[in-house]
Amino acid sequence: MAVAQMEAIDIAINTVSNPYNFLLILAAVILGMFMGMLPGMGGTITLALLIPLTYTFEPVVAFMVLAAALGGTNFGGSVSAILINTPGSAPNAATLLDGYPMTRNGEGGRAITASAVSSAAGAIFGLLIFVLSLPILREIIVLFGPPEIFWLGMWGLTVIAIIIKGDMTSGLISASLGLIFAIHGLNAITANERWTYGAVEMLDGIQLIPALIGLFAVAEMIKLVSEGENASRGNADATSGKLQGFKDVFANKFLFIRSSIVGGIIGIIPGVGGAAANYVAYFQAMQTEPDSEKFGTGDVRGVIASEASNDAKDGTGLLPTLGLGIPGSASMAVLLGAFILHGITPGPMLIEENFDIVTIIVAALLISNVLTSTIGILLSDKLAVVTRLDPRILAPVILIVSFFGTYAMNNVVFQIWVTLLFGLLGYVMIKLDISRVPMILAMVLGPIVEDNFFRALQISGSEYGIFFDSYTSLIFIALIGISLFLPYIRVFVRNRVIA
Amino acid sequence: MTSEPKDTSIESAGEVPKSQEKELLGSESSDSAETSEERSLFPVDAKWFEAAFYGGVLVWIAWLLLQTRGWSFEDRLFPCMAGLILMGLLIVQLGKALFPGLIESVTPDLSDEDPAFEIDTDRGDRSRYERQKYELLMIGWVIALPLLLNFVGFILTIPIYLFAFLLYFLRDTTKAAIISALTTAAIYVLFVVVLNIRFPS
Repeated sequence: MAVAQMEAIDIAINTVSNPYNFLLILAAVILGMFMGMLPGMGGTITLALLIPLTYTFEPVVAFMVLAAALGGTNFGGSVSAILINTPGSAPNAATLLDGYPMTRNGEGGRAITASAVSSAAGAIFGLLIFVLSLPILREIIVLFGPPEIFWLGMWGLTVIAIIIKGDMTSGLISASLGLIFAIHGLNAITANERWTYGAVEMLDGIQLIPALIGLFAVAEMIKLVSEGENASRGNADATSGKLQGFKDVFANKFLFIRSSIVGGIIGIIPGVGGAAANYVAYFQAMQTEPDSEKFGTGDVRGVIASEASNDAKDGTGLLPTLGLGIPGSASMAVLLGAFILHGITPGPMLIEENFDIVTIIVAALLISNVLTSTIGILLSDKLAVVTRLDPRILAPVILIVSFFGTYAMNNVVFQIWVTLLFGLLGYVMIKLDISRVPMILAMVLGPIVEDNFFRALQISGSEYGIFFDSYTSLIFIALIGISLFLPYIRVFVRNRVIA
Repeated sequence: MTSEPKDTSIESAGEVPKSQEKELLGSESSDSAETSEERSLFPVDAKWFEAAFYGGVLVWIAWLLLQTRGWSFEDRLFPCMAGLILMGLLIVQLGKALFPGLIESVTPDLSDEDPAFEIDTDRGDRSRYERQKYELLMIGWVIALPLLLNFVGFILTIPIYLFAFLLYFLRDTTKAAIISALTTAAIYVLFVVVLNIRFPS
C-alpha cells in the first residue's frame, strides 16, 4: 500500500478516535436517526441542513459528521415505517410492507431489532465491496480526461432525468432548469458575468445549499402542514421481541447476503436510487424464499431483505459518487454538493488527491451504523415518540433552522431570499408532480460538464474530434443513446405484452 | 360579498371539525364527501395554474436567452443549448396542460413504474378545499419568515415567529410560549455559542 494511503488511514483512525470527534459522530448519528424518523425528511434533507453547520469544520471532520448522519437516517426511516406505516424516506418504503403488519401483530420490537441488525450488517457489506473495488477503480481513473468526464456528466444528466418518477418531459424540464440555474454567475473559464441581474451577490451564482434547503426542507414543510399529515395514527408498540429480531437476521443469513448483493449492485448504478434497491431486494426475497405467501402479512424476512439492501447500496453508492463524480442517489448528490462547498472537485481525481476524506467517510459510516443499531435496539420504544410530532410544531422549527442555516453558510442575507424562492419553486414542483432531484443533480453536474467541455477544447486546440477519440468516450455516448431510448423500448415492450 | 363564515374558532386553525368543514364548503357539500373533495378554493381549473407556471418559465427563459446576445462563444454555448432545449420542453408541457391527450401520445408514460427518488404520499384526511386553504396559509407564513429576518433581525425573529406561528395553529398560549422559549434557546446556543456565527440585528 502506498505511503499516502497509509497516511490517510492513519489520519482517519486518529480523527475518529479523538473523543471530541467521537462525540460529534454520536451527535450526528442521533440527529440522523431523529431526522430519518420524520416523514418526508430522510438523508437528503438531513445532509442539506448539516452542510451549512459543518461548513466551518475541517473537511475531514465535516465529512465524518455528514457520513455519520447519513448512516443514522437510513435506520431512522425504517423505525417510522415499522411503527406507523410511514417510511421516513423513499429508501425505506418496502420496509413497511412487512414491518407495519409486524407492529400490528405485537412484534414491533422484533421488527425494529431485525431492521437495526440487518441495516448495520448490510452497510458493512456494502462498504466492504467499496473498499475491495478501490484498486480497480484507481485503474479506471486514468481513463478519464476532460472529454470523458464531459460525456460521463452528460450521461449522468441523461440517466437521472429519465428514471425519475413521472413522465420524461417533466424530468428533463427539471434537469434543464437546474442547468440554467447552474449557469448563473461568473463563468469559470472566461470569468465573464452571466445572468447576474446586476446584483453583486449573484457573481457567485446560485448557491447549491440554499437551493437544496429551499427545494426540499421548505417545500416539504409547506406540504406537511397543508396536508395535515399526522404520523401518529398507528399502533406504536415497540417493546416486544427484541432478542428474537436479533436471532432472525442470523437465521436468514443467506437471504441477508442475497439482499445485500442486490442493494450493492443497484448502489453502483448512478441515479437508480434507494427506492429501487429495497423494492428489488424485497421482491427477490419473495421469489426465492419458501412460504412466500407470508410476505406482506408480517414476515420478518421482508424487513431483513429491504433494510439489508438499503444500507448496502449506500456503501457501493460511494463508488460512482466519490470515484466518478456521478451520484447514485439524492443524498449522494447532496454529498457531492458538500465536496464542492469545501473546494474539493468530485470525480476521478478525488480518490487520488483526497484519499484521507474517502477513508474518513468509510470509517464514519462503519462506526455510525454500529452506533445506530445499538441505539436503535436499546431505545426502540422511546424512538416512537418522535414520529408523533405535530407537523404544526415541527414546521416552524425546521423553517427557522433552514433559513438560519443558509445564512450561516457564508453570512450573506441574500441567501435567505434564494432559499425562499427555491422553497416556493419546490412546492410548485411537488404540486405539478415534477421531481426536484434532477434539478439538484443538474446544478451539481452542469458546471462539471461545461468546464470539461471547454477544457477538452483547449487541450485539442478547438478540435471537436477529441470528444470521440477514446473508447471510454464512445462507451458513454452509447450509454446516453441507450438511456434516451430505454423508456420508449419499455413502453413498446409493455404495449406488446398487453396486446 | 362572500357568504363564507369567519374563521375565528380555536379549531379552525388546526383540526377543522366536520360541522365547520361543512360550513366552509357551503350547503351543497352537506351530503356528499365526493363534492367536498372536488370543491376548490380557486375559481379556475388546475390546468391554468400549470399553464401559468410553464408559460411564466417560458417567458423567463426567452428573456434570459435574449441577454446572451453579444456574449462570447464560450459564455453563450451552454446557456443557449440548455435554454433552447428547455423552451422546447416547456412548449410540450404547456401543450399537455392546455390540450391533454394531444401530446401525451408521443411521450412515454412511466407513472406506473417505481419512483427512484421520491414516493407519493397520500394527501392526508383533508378535503381539497381545506388543503388549498392551508397551502395559502403556509406559503404566507413561509414568506413572512425571511421578511421578519430582514426587517426585525435574526435573533429577535425566532421567538416572535415561533410564538405567532404556534399560537395561530395551536391556539394554546402556554404551549406556544414554552416551545418558543426552548427552541430560541436551542438555536441560539447552536448557532451563536457553538458555531460562533454573528447574525445581523
